[in-house]
Amino acid sequence: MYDTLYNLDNKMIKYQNESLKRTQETFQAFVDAVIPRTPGLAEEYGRIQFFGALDSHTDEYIILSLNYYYIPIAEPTAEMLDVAAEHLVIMDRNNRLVNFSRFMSGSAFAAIEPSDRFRAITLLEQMNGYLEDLPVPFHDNPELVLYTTSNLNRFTMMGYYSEWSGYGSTRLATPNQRKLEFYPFSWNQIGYPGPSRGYRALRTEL
Amino acid sequence: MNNDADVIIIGAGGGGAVVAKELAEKGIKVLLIEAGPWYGNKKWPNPNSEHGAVSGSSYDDLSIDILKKSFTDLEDDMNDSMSGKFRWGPANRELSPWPRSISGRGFAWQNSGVGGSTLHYFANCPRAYPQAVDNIWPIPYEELIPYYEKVETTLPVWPAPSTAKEDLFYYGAKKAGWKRLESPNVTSPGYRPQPNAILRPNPRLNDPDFDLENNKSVGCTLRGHCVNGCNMGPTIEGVAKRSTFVSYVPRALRSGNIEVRPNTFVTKILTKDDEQEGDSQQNALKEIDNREGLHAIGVLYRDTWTGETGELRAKVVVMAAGGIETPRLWLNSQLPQNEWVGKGLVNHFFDCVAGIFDEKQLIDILGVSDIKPYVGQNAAARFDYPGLGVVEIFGLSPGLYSSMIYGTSDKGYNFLNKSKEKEPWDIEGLVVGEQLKEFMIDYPRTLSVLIFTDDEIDQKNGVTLDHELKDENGFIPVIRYEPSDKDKEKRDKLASIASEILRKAGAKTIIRSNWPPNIYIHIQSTMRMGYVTDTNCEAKQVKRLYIADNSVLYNGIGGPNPTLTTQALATRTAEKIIEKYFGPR
Repeated sequence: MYDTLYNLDNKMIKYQNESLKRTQETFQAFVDAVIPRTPGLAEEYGRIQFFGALDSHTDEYIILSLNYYYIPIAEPTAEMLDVAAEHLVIMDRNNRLVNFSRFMSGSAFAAIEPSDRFRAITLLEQMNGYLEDLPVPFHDNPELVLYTTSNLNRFTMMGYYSEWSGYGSTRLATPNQRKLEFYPFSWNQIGYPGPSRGYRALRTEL
Repeated sequence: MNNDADVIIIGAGGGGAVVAKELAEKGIKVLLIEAGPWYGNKKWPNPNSEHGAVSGSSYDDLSIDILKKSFTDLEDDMNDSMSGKFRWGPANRELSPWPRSISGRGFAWQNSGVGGSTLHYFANCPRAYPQAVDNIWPIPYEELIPYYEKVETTLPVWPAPSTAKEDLFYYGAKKAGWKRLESPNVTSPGYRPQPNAILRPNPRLNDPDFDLENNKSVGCTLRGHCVNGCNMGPTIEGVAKRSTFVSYVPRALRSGNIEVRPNTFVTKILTKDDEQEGDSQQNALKEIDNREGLHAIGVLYRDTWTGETGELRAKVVVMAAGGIETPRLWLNSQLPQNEWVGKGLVNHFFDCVAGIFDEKQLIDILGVSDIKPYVGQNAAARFDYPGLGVVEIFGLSPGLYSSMIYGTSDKGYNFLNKSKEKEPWDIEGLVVGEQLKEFMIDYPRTLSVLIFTDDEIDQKNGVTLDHELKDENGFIPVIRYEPSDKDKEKRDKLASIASEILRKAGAKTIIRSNWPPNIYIHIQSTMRMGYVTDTNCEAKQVKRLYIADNSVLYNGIGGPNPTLTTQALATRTAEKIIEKYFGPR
């Protein structure tokens, strides 16, 4: 279980255990698929475009957000994604299996290639009869499945393009304790200058 | 038992704060109860980490310095859906938000706090479409006009100023053949500047000598942080975006007749039924006038910091907790059965369409190479189409922007969808991977719109209680909504109109998000006038209980943003309360 603890400095500590490792692997695979490293874009638009969600720890943002629910669900969500990946492969609907040993004993979701991860989620959302294989609290709750999978996309984009990764060493602290240490590199990628006191941008006063 | 106030108002948001000020200025003693925190008040210097005072009633406690410490302009800090300062949850950000049950791919964007949803709102203040009210509502549109005018003067409401993104939209709309609208009473389609409750920009704003960093003057500075909380101004009352905590609440405080109690969740409406109580002799001795059937006498509440509960009593109670919480409270209070309580929900069946432009195109049309979604007011231009709904442009900070346009769809991942050559857009569905990064490289050259559909009333859509799941405030609400076929047709038409405007403006790529239907941002008509209340907004089955939020709207007013209409109605409701229960003033 992903337990959040606070040490004396009021910072969250992660438990280092197998279950957490798999959970993180799965979410790293998800965010890496949504916002990948892109050498092609770096060549075309500049070096800063290479970096992606893995470089800004967006997987941690997802875990934090999912564990903020009334019932913390980061770990079951990761398990659900792994089950979805297994089903995709069993039904032979995947493009290509990237890493067989990881598929068998690590995060199945991370073992399939990025586009297949989205195919797995799509298949999961169609819910063709494998709800019972899903972990609690998803196994009898199709609405919670959809609510969560749709939030994953939003959390990834919010986590990556907002200031969150700029909280740096305080990004896992409780919200009131976070301090902005730097502007996230994603802002450089998209030309966002950060918060402002105003712009001399008035064109027509009506 | 002694009353704690003449009138208790539940919810200090768009409607509740209006009733509060209108009553307090007439000498009525008001207790305004709010579930969330109060930002910008000396009695709560750290509103998200400390309990602070129990209540506040002094205008002098308002503090722009404290507001500026809370409103950091950082979008995750302010608007993180789970832990943001603006969320539906307790002030203590270490706690989870309050849960609800929402089917499908949706979410609810509610806000607790003094100001309610006006904390994060775009301050858009259009009136209803007259044709959605006349001969449909139990009161005519004409009756609302003086109240519209009063609210428009009080906030105040101005046509929004233009920056590059607005001018691009007007260019496209004109080229698509649409007319510019001049009247606030919209009877035919056209475009216009957004009527916004935002103070006009300082006329010296473009002057290179105008010191933006140390600016203490009044007026919008076009910095694009509306949704993340406006803190621009020399005092609370002078803040540019006119959320109710800077407009109506300070005015109410000046009257000396109001106590505001944040961090207080009302869990039950208390009622009494004289006709069921007392021995007959005692009742016979009372004047007939004093015996009332079922009527409200107060509330039960729970302090969100300490968990302490208590009772508060008043002569009249006003429910203004919003389109989800007001019906939830009625149901959790076990008030009389009414098949329309919680029912008839409309949410304007939102959608999103975005256009990406080339630099050259923008230079040709506007004389500048980009349009910057984060410059200008967040939503400053609109297109109205009575009979279909609304198209309005919006621009935001990048996390919220990307998650709304590229991260929210009912159509799954775009790259897995078959291409639709006949559609007016190029992309439909979730955008991920390298394509997402490419589109976000074009963020400064993206113009996007929100679509609000004139959705129909359906009694199957609405708010009920979960049979089992409770949070600390009662059974949690279950929200269900499905659009009708007509609603889908209307929304598709609006998406086509929006795409055409963007294409005519020169967009090279158009993305239609195709939002899922169960997104609750405009949450309306769950306690409809005429069904749950009479035309004075007093509950038919519970006297002395009024409703003054979006839930009492008869319908979706044709598609426009509901706040102004709710505020106009709330102004009228305050008058009705005084007339009936407090004598002529």
